[in-house]
Amino acid sequence: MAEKPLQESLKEYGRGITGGLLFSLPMLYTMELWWAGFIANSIQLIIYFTVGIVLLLIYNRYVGMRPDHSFLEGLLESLEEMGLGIILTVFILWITGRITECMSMSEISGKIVVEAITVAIGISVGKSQLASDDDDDDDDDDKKEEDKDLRHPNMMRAMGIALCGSILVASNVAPTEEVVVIAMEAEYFKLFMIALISIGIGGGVLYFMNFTGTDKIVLEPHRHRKALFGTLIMYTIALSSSAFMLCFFGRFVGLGLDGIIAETIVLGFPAAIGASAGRLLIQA
Amino acid sequence: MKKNTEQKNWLEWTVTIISGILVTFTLGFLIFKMVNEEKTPPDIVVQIGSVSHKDGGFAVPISAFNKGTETAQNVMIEVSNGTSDHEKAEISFQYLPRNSSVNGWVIFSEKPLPDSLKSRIVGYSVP
Repeated sequence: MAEKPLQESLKEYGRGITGGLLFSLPMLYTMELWWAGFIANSIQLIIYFTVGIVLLLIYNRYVGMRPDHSFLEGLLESLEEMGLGIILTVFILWITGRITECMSMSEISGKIVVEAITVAIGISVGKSQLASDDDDDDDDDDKKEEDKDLRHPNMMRAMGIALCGSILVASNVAPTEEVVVIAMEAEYFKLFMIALISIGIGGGVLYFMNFTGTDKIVLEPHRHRKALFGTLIMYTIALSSSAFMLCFFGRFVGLGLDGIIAETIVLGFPAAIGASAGRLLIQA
Repeated sequence: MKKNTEQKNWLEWTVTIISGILVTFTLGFLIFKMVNEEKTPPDIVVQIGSVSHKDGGFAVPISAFNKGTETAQNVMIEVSNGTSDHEKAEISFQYLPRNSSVNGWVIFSEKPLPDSLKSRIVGYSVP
């Protein structure tokens, strides 16, 4: 068995870091994110961190790696991406002056955990998706054949990647004050329209617009019931992931049910774009 | 399938091992925190430095430290100089996280007596 050439690893890390920055710089430059790190308590942080690692495992299982890798390989790969995510986060936070010596370890670790998840998913996406085709052209023929087996519709896979996509896109806005402001000020019919638009665009991307990758990934377009079902699942994932993030960032504290639902719908819009278009982009 | 039979090279192993340590450490640290964490409300201690002549007045450096395990928000601190005209200066900090400190300056127009500076925490909210 040959060792992988050093240059190839370096290129892969380069792509990973670029992907991480692409998806998470907006987040690293957001004040509420820095605060979320020290407002969240340890249990919340542990849950968030674990969810992040599970998402990486799911993503690597279905997209990032070859289909016949062992669980251990997937775990090592996920750990590696999370570790790189932490290093990159620390570096960016330090270079932007968000980590200074008068902060306590718990504040710093909170900040890092909150931001590293998105960075790590970005790294994972970058490593697997940003490669140019001639980078592994000798695999291409294999890949096409595998694609037929692996890439055909599979509910768990589709849901897992949709979840990654929605977290990747929506975590950039989830902690911001703006979500709360929009939710509090919007009239009910406008919230209803936001929900309709989310469903419409999400379903359209998956079943109507001929988006990249829809032909081989998504269920047949002419079967309306399946399309309806798929759209429904997509929106459910978008809403549950946005509710999870809002809850994590403490946006539900002291809020009545209608406030909670309003916020979830507002954040559900970017989450739905992530769960549909984002999902197709990160598994293309 | 070529890629799968390739072994990790030293660089990948190094990155993987460092990452593994980092992730384990982070998780371990959080669990340690969770087990040992008592929830205590913010408890702020203010330290006053020595007076210097700047900013068009007499500037006093102050440093606030939060001993509690909860974060204080919108911390308002008032410092009075001990002179007979009872001049007061106020400063506010947006966030003062647990076990962390923030620094700032308060400015007086009259020269404060060195030992008579008094600080008072006016109030804060808890996020």
